[in-house]
Amino acid sequence: MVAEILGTILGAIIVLFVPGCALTFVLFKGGEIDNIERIVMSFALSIASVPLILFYLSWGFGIKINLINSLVVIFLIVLFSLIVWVKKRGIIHWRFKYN
Amino acid sequence: MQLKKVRPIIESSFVQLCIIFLAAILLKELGIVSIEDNVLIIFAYILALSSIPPILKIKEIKVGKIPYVLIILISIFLFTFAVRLLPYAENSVPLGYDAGLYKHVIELYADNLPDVPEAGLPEWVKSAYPQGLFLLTNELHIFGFDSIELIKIFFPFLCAFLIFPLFVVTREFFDERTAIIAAILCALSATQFHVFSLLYFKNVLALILMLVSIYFLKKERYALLILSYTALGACHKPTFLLFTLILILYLGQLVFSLIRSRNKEGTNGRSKNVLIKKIKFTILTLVAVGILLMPFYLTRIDLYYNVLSSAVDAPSGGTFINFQEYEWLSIAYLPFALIGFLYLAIKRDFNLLFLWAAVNGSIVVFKLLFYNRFIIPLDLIFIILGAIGLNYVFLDSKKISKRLAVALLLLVFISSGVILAERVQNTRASITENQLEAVVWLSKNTEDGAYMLALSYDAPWVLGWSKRRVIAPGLFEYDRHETDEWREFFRTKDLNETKEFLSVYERPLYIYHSGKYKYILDLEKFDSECFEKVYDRGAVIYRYLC
Repeated sequence: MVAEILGTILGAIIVLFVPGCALTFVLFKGGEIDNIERIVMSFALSIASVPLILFYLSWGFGIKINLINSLVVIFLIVLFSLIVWVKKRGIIHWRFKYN
Repeated sequence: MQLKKVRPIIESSFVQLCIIFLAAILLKELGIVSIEDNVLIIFAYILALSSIPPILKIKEIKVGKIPYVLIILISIFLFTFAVRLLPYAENSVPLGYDAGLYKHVIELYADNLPDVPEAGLPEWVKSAYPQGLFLLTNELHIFGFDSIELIKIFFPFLCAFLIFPLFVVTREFFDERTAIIAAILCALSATQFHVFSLLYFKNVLALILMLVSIYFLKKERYALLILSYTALGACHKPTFLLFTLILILYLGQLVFSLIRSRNKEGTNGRSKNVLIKKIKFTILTLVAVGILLMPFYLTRIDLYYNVLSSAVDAPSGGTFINFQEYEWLSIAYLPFALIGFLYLAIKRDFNLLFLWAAVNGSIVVFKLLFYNRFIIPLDLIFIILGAIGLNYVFLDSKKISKRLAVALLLLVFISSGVILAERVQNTRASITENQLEAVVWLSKNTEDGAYMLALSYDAPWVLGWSKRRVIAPGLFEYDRHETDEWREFFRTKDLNETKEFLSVYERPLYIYHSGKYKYILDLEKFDSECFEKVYDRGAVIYRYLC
């Protein structure tokens, strides 16, 4: 029972918060938005992006809407955001220079 | 000359009048005094008009900051969420007439996973339920949510979450203090609670997306605007139409500014370029959203066209409270919303929120199309305008003492709160737990392909919980009779007439009656050899045998 509830809460966070939150770090410059705006944007971008991407993939390419594909889309959004964020902050560039 | 004499009197008595007005609402709501609703509504409009002299005197405004704003907002969110969960404290039946319809459509989409069920959907689903919300509920279903959790937990969460985008948008246009007042008014709005109690799922999601779209437009983040605007279009047609009208007016405003700046000498080239860039991007946004929405709209275009043309030919209000009822529900902040609107008009601050109020107000006041449904976004913009009125005309005023202004603000909150409390107290599910149990019994004790005949009041519940095909007057895909024929069937006691009516429907056939509106359906006709009473606990169910 407890595991089920925790699983549902985790699922909700993954669908309703994580992808949008990752995108806010890429789409807004540091300091451009505060925590409240980040909460709102995380939720709004999550509910707008993941269902739409999956719909277009299903409509255009016949890709199935299931747990694995949903996780892949969310993972790709997060990965893309992470790469852009790291690149923006110059972390990779700095490492190369250091080496 | 006369006006000059009257003006100082109005100015000096304005705040006192506001306090008398709010005290009158409070005393009426508490049942201490008896005042006609219309008297208070007229009083509200007079108050709004009498605010013009004080507004004209406002020269500069301070930007109000609030400490610990995130904590305050989270507290407001928790309060709003708790208020929305209150009706479920002693009742497990979802609120609203639409609960069964949403449950059915959510499950229809979930059962068709991993595909989106476009071709197999019945026409009534296609015309009334755009895909947007159900793509999201599908996602949540994949991650473990069932339809009841979505209705009873996720939907109240959405309603409470609305205060966050409302705060962010209001702060973006005005300041933090105005935004926090707006968030509190939203939490105390009886109209927003009514939206929740009717389970207008798509509406609430669309309001969040519209607020976020306005925020992106203000920030000139066009790529993000395209994303949120597309999601809005995929979710809810009336709110999408409203935002599109706002966007078109905004575009017109930009073009007008450009023409004016071209005619004006001395306007620098840079500001013209900025205007041209804004015009280009706004047009690009409209085109991009049009293209992105094609897969959503193309398959349903004829159905949407029929709905729209019938709405234009014979404008109907849609199912929501009418404007007179709304005036009473929002009476505590209605005059301040009008004051806020006058403030923006007098200060010539024709921003996106002003355009929203103008477009939305016109649809509702001139009864254009689905005007009652447009009261929902109208309430939201009235909340923002009310916060503007309260902050800039009272709290910020140098002529009004701070204590008096704060007392007035508290009176607005208390009056709104009392109206909300009354609404919460009177909110009940449309059917009882016993009546719902009877519907669940149908799902377990009838054949998979069975048909259920029900009154339109019971039909959504039967559809959602029985998981069988439902025949109801004017609803769904299996109804084969006209309204008059249904009326005759409800009224008659004659077995032959009843048999003739039911002969067009396939078997096995059951008749569900919750017991509500007993005067509509005469049950005497079912006391015959052709009907077997198979259930009689809170609701009655007959099986048709002939």
